[in-house]
Amino acid sequence: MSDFLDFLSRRPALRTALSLGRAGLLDGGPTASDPTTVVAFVDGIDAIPRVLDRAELESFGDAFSQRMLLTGTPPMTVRALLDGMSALPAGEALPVREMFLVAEGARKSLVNPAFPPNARLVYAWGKGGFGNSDAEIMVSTVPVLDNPTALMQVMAWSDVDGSFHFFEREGGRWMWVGHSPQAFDPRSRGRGPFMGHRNGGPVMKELLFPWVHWSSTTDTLPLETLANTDLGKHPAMSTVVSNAQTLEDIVRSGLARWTNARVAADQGAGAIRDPLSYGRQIVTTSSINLFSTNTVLARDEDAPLRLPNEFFFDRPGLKMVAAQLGLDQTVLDAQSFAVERDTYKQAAAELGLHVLGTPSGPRVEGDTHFAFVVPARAQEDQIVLKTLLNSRWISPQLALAMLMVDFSNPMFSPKRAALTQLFPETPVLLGGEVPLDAPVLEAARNVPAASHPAVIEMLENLDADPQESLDTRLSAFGAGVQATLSTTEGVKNILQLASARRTSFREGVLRELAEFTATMARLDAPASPRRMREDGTIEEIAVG
Amino acid sequence: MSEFAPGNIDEMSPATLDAWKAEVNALLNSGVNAARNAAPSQPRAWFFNAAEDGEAGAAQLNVNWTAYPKLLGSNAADYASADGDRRRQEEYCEWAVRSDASGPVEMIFSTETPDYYRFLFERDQSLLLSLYHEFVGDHVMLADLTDGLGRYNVTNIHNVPPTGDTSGAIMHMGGNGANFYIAAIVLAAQASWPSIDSAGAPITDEQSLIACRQFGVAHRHSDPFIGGQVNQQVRLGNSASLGGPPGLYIDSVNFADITMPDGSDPIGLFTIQRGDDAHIMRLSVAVPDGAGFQLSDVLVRGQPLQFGSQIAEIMRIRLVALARTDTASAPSIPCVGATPLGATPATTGSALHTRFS
Repeated sequence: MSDFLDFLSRRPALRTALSLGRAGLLDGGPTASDPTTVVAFVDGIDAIPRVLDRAELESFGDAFSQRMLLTGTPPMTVRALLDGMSALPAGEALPVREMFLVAEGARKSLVNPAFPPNARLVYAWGKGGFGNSDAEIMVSTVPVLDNPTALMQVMAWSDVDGSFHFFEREGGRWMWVGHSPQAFDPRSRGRGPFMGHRNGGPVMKELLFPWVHWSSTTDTLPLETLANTDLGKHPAMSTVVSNAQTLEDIVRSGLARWTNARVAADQGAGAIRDPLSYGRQIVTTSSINLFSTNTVLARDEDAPLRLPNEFFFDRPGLKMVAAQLGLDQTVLDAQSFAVERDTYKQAAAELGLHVLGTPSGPRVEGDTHFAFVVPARAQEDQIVLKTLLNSRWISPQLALAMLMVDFSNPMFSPKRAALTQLFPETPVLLGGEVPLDAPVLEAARNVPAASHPAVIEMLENLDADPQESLDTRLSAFGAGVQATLSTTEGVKNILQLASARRTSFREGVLRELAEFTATMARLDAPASPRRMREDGTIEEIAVG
Repeated sequence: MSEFAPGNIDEMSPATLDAWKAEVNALLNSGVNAARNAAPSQPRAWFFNAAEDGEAGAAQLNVNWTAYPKLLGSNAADYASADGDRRRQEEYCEWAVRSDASGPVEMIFSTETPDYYRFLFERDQSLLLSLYHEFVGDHVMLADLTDGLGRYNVTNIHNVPPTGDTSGAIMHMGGNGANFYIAAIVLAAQASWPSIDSAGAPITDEQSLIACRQFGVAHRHSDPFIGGQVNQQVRLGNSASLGGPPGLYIDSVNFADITMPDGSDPIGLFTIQRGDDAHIMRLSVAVPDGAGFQLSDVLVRGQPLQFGSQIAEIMRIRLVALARTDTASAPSIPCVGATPLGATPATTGSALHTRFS
């Protein structure tokens, strides 16, 4: 039960304190006598928690501080939070409240009652209004009303500084653990909340259709599996669960809000102050979303599995730049990857595909509820690319040339990631057209970058006719992949490639997002690192 | 139901409104009957008539889904296909695009159900014709709205113009024959029975449920989700109905997916033509006069706006369902129709025996 409530894997402040051997740190100190005091602890910047005085807390201007923390009685339980938000006076109320449910193990627990449902709730409060999907406050918690130590994390928007502020309730008090710009501060990057919120914005891993593991249009999660929770015991924790597709709208809106604020801040300063932070989001795997088929393998149907395009190539990104260049997208749109159901099942069985409830079990044979959950390029990176293109900070020609480097490996591509060396680490002045192009291209033509295979390919891509290059390369790739998918051995290779990418996700810098074992299926023998060639075949990568 | 006028629109005379209330009552009673007919051996149904019983004490479920058909992809060919054929617009939202030589000029989205317009033809033809005149044009004549048997023609030429028409004419849904309010009521009612497969295991996933209870259309966003939501609430000890005001509504459009060429707020493109802010039934998308750009200069998910389908893809439709605590729990009943997951297919004879015993 404590694992179910604590979710230690996503409580970085507590983990940091424990790792420093100061488990009592959060309970002791000058704040111990006043649990209503809010403390600050930005991992990497603050050595120990420090008391936030009222003036500093007011200066944040975020929706949660204003409504809940500055009242003098901050909520210590979910019940107190829900009651407090419902009791806000008219001028402060956020009238739109949604409650979303994610539970990776809910479906598996119907097959094996020992399989932990792993249920979490996400609450979102907003002002509402037609077209307004923004949430001012988002809370990640568990369906337990009155436990003062269970997971409760908040991110809240501030119009004052144009950022999200992150809070955790730890050790009997609320802790401010950073705000969005600190995701890019070298001291705090990848630490604290920014282990998961890598780029400072909201995160919903399974952001897009079919929102695997979430209660949504594609799957109403069976609430019978959560009978030992407090669902249904409070008007704001009822059995009426919002559609996860609405959370997609909220998260995409939040990502756009933060990205626009980043860009606006740079525009106000007259310079792109941190070009590398944008460059990373174009050419590296700065974060991930999880994609899947819309197929429940256990159902007895004949239709083939349509594997997500995004696993094979960066379709959304390429479509975006193609639109900017006015290219015909017929070949792009035509690429579709299907595998016969029986072939997939055979390959999965031969490789021992299964889902684990925890690292030590239980184990359920087969795939996740919607088959083939895989990491792919994150929407937050797509939104940054879109904003850079629309702001004319980078030309679509250069963006296309970069995205087409090692395009058959849209995730975890060391070759394409090497292009980060081309982005300057010093500010780039605004004022002309596509200000990022010139320094990137200049770096590309200078030693030692000029001899790097990724840079050579990027420059070749720039010189090529974009329509002809896109169509020719994608057509050949698509045909090659479909040939791979036509045999059991080929599908096994694809499953092993998926396994390798899942491992890269689980064991890399994004591992906080891979904290729950039931999120993705596993093979009996995890695949070694591998990549897909441009001809649609797969090769193992030599390590070391 | 406390509110009966679709979209809370105040356009019916008192007599017409009374008749409409009776109509809604009859529609929901049809739902109750559909639930009873799905399990005739049961003493009662767990789908109730909210028009008769009222909504007091019932929790409201805002069941929402994407307006763009689930079967279609995010590409120009599929967008054009959906725009060009109202029969493909199967998610309880239909749209029409008015175009000229420069491209799309206006896109109109409607969730108004044919049930209301068929009713108006019977009860208030003056109101019916005035609505057509206001939203389609003065050229509409009553005779144009009538079929060969003197009944209201849902797919009349002014509501569902021929393929290739660029006038953007649409009055209400009905181009797809399933987009009726009664259809939503009946599918919710049929889905309201907790169900077990032939192995006795409870059915909790939507696709298995729709195969089991044989309601609606499995490949849509809407039908399986509506059924799944209602079925879950009944499994949890409630009875269910559909809430008022009767109808389906445009719930939201995600403005974060829209990029305006002048950086302005996308709200400027949208005009609510029928319904109130919380119950939008008819929505127009057009560039404001004097804006200096065209619809095709607007980007939706990074692509120039050329099809109504692109807006439908970022639009959500809403139906309100109700869940009311019941004093008795609904029984779980076996499936009808195709053998669902987990069941061992029986011989034809024993399957029949199981079904009718």
